[in-house]
Amino acid sequence: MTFARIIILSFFITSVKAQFGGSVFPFLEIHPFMKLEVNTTNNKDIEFVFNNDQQLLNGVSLNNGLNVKIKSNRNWQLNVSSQGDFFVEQSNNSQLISATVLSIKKQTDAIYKNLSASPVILANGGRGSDKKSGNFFSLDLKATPGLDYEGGDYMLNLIFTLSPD
Amino acid sequence: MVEAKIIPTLNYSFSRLTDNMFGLKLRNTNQKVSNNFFNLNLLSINDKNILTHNINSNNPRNAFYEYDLVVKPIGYEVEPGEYFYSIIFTLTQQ
Repeated sequence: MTFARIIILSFFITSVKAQFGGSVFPFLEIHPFMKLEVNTTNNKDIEFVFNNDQQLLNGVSLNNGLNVKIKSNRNWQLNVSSQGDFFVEQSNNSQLISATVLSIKKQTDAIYKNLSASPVILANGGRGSDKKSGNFFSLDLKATPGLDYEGGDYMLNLIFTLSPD
Repeated sequence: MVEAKIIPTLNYSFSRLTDNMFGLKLRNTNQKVSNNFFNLNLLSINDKNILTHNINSNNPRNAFYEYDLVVKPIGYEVEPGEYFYSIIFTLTQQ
């Protein structure tokens, strides 16, 4: 009986190895991040030139005039508005041209949206880098002043706003 | 032998990070160990050997091992929030 106990005990000792444990508890705190880049195709100001009545009446389009890149870890919405409701007159004419003369759309959309000081939704998208489909795209611009405005130079600033959706 | 594994614990957001975001890399030691342990070891929910030490060939007294804890690039696909983990180390006699 004694012999049997010794055998069992020795087996137990040789089969168990010393073992110690420890833990650390890292955590990640990920903050919201959103970045918007809007660039003209050749990094110059966008210029619309009207040489005849057809251009004034039917408008002049600038396809892919702006390139947009978005990096965001939140779903996003892109809005655009003009800085004011009217173009800023550059050649000492006192005439006001409504910002609605200028319209804009995402390149893949069909319908232009008129600009004003009130923001309009231009695009929506999801989390991801600017390499993700939907987070990079081009914008088309169109100016249709008609025949009601005197010739001259007029300028309008556009404001793009990226916000969580 | 030292093994390590990582377990997600709490998660204050709607999305979940993958478990293999963290890695350990031996930065400094006063012991002779294999060069392999100076490479980045990505952790997972399964034990991974991050150090093997032969007591017969080195002086174990006052031994120290300094590790870098590395987080892989998170990118933009992960929702903002707080993500908590436990890294569990197990020291086993060889």
